[in-house]
Amino acid sequence: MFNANLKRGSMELLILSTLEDRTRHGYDIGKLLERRSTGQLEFRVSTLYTALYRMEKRGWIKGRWVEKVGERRRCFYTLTPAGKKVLASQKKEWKAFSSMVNQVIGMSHV
Amino acid sequence: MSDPTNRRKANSSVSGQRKLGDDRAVQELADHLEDLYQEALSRGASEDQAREYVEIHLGETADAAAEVLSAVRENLRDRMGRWAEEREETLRIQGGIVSAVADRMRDLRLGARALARCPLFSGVVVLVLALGIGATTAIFTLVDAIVLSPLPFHEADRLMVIGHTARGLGLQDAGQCAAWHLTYEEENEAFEDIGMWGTGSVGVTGGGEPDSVSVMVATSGVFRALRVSPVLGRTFTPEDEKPEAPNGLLLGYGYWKTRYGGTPDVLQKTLEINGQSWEIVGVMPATLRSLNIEPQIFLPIRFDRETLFVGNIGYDSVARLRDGVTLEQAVADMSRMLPMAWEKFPGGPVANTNPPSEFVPVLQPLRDDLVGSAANMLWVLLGGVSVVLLISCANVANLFLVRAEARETEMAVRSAIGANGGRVVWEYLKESLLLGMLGGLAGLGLAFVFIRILIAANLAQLPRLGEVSISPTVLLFTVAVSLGSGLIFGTVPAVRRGKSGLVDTLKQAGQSAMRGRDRRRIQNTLAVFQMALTMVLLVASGLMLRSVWALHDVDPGFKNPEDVLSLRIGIPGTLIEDINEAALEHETISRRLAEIPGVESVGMATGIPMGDGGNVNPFYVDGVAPPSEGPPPMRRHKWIGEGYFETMQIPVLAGRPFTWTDAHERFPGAIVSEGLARAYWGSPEEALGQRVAARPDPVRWHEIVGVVADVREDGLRQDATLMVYWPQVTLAFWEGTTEEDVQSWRTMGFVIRSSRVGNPDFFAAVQNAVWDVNPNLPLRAVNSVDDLVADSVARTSSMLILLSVAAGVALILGVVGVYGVIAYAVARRSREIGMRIALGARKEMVMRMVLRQGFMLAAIGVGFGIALALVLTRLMSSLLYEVSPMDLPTFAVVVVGLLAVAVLASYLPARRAAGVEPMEALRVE
Repeated sequence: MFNANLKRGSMELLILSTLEDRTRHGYDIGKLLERRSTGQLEFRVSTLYTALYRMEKRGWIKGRWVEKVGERRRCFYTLTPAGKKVLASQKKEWKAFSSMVNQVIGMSHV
Repeated sequence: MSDPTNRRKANSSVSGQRKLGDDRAVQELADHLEDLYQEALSRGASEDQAREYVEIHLGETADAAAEVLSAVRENLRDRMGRWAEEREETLRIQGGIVSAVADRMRDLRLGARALARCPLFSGVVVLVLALGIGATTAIFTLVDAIVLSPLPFHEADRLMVIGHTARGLGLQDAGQCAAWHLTYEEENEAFEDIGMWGTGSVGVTGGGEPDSVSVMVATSGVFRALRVSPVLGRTFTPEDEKPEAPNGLLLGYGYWKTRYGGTPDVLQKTLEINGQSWEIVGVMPATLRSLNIEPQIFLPIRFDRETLFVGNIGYDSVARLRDGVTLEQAVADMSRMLPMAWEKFPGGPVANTNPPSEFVPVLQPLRDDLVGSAANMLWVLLGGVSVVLLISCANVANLFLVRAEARETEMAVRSAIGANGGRVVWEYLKESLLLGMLGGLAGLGLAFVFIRILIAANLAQLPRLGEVSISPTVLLFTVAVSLGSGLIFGTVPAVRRGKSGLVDTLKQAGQSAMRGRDRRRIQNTLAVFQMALTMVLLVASGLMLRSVWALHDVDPGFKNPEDVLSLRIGIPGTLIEDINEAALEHETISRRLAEIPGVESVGMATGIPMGDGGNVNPFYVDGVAPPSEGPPPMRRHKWIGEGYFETMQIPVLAGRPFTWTDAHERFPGAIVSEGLARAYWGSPEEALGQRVAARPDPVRWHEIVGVVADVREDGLRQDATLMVYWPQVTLAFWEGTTEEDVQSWRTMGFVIRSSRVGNPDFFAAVQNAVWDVNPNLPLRAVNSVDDLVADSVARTSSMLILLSVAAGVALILGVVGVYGVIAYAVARRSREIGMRIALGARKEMVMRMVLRQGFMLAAIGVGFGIALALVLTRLMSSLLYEVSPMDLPTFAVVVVGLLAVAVLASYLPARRAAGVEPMEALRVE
């Protein structure tokens, strides 16, 4: 009933959610995920960047080089309008999915 | 991490969305590694521990890189479009060199895209390169066409110019005369063909206003020696050289096109020349232009052997060496033949009783004769623009250093994932070579424009200008220069990288103080290099400026030439047969010209200073025995009418000038120049009353009635001429003449002084005045004497202009180089400066510190520049006038000026340094 890619796609949902409030660069995204998951999520560099480039190809995020005074030039990622839509729909889908799973295995939603 | 407030305040530069590619992926991974390193440090790890931390991730990153890159390349393939990849794939499959080429092609394409993403950087580099390459290519085009290319004649290296010198008489360039020419032609063993020619102008009459056309008189041998074939009809034959030959002339190519529209049916048409009818028997090709003359018509030289003698030296000669004969052998042959001329053609001013051992034949390759001093000038110019190009490359190398630093970590990552040293160098080179070629392309376009301008201005009266074009040699040169430049400034950052591994690079990247130290060292070196070269060019320009100034100060002997118009009028025997009447006609013209409103005075002479017409003849002094062997001394002679000295404003130092009465009465008087008077008699006053002649005893001596100031007849760069002036009409000097024979000249130069010179209606008034006297006389060689003077120094003036432009460009580039280095140094040291200010340093101290840095940089560059200039300026000594190549004042002015400019260039960065806010500076790090 749910998209089989949803599992692999949780990576994408996680990444997109970090970009919801502001733009970030790759390292920042990885660290944020680590922090928010209190260390439970730690991504391999290759996984992270492969996902980023995949999503960029699909047009969900956009990477731009930015140079600030006194800082190194970094590539910052932004959510595109399409990406916002995808994020919203994936959030909804995840909520429904997780609620369904909980229901099935008899857990109460935390 | 940057917070929102910082971000708003900061000057963020967004370089635009960068399409996903190898470069970006590698860069991002590199950034990630740096962040890992910094993270470890910030958590309290030591440098070694931080390095270990990164190394743990390194293996992962290397795999990651490979994985990401292959994913990226998939994307790349999609986006770039099928055909390019398929093409490359096909090539790659073939393996070996072809595959390598395919890889390079792809690299270059990616490199081009990378450059396109930085339009400002690429644009500046291409512009700077285009200027340097364009100027160098333009001058090289001139060198190639004028100095290096052979003349457009068959086996042109066998063509020689025949001349003569007279040792001890100060005659360097005595040319050729008919008697010598015929002797050589008939008696030689060394030449296949030999010809004689001269230039001048004649009047084309018989149709409205008389017109003056340029003419080359030539023997048939000229065309045989050059192996030129006519475009139409025929050239001259030996038959045409006989006095009784029918009147046949040849048309010049340009004249044929303009006057006859290049129609093929021009043969057998006629032209009226000086009242006589001549038939057109042929049309000559355009290649004769290479001889630096472009006559409108050709007339045959006709010899009357009965009356010929050794004299009237003033023709030019060209000969073709026989196969296997060397130049030395030909000269020996001519030396053998020379004395025969006096036996074959006796009589004349140089009597054959005096063996003519003083005259020496001279042989020179035709090309050297034509190109002459222009070659040296062009080589010096080429050196000058090459210096500008080197300075441009130094500037671009600087820009590349900045760019390379940003890619440093990327390069380290590439090494880590398997790229070898050559591959990394290639990463730098592919951009620099691309830019080099782009700069070369733009430079070629600029060169085309420069060349058009140079030719149109014809500042230096360069020979062979008609042959200048962008040849395959020039194109090859441009390609070589472009690639060479690209190699030079591309390897500077590559060399700098050294062998540091990835982590060492990261270590350097993390520490701002160390980062850029190498870069600063190279930048300083480049700036010093630029300063040194700029110094050389500025000194060279300064020396030329002093030469021009010195020439400006040279007294030509006459005054206010801008108010004097000169022209020549020839009265042919066909118009007025009697020479006495012709002389009177000249006088009438002179008087009529003086009546024109606004004319202050008019004069007349066989030769105008720095213009056409000069006579060289023997000179005898009563009481001074002529040399026992060898011919008598030769001096310059002029026949003048009343008013010549007054019009030219040549001061009369003693005695009086000539009047018309002197001419009418055939008064045996003479006037000499001051130099001549001093040479023989010690002073102008002592010369009065002495007797001189143009023939040995027995002769009618002429008494010196006046001495005038020296005149530089041959140009400002030459010494004053030793001159004898005779009245317009005198009794003939030469042997075998009677009291009734007079010496006068059918062609006289007129000089007219008026403030109206330069006005077009003034010239019309002059023309009308002449035609009032005789409507069949064309006016020729009309010039303001001022123009003649300017032409005599044209080459020096144009060298000054061109070198100054080069020096100006070099100065701008050099100053930009110094500014760039100092500005960068200030930016990097902003933290240190902030600390100093926080600790109490005053702003003036900070400014002085920065200015001193700029000054030191410039001083070192200037030091090297002095040494370089001392060596190189010696190469241009022949172009200088009255100034030594090591002229102290010039060097001093340039040194002071350059240092001052460099300090000025450091002023802005110094001010910025003084304005650093300590807290901001400290916080940024």
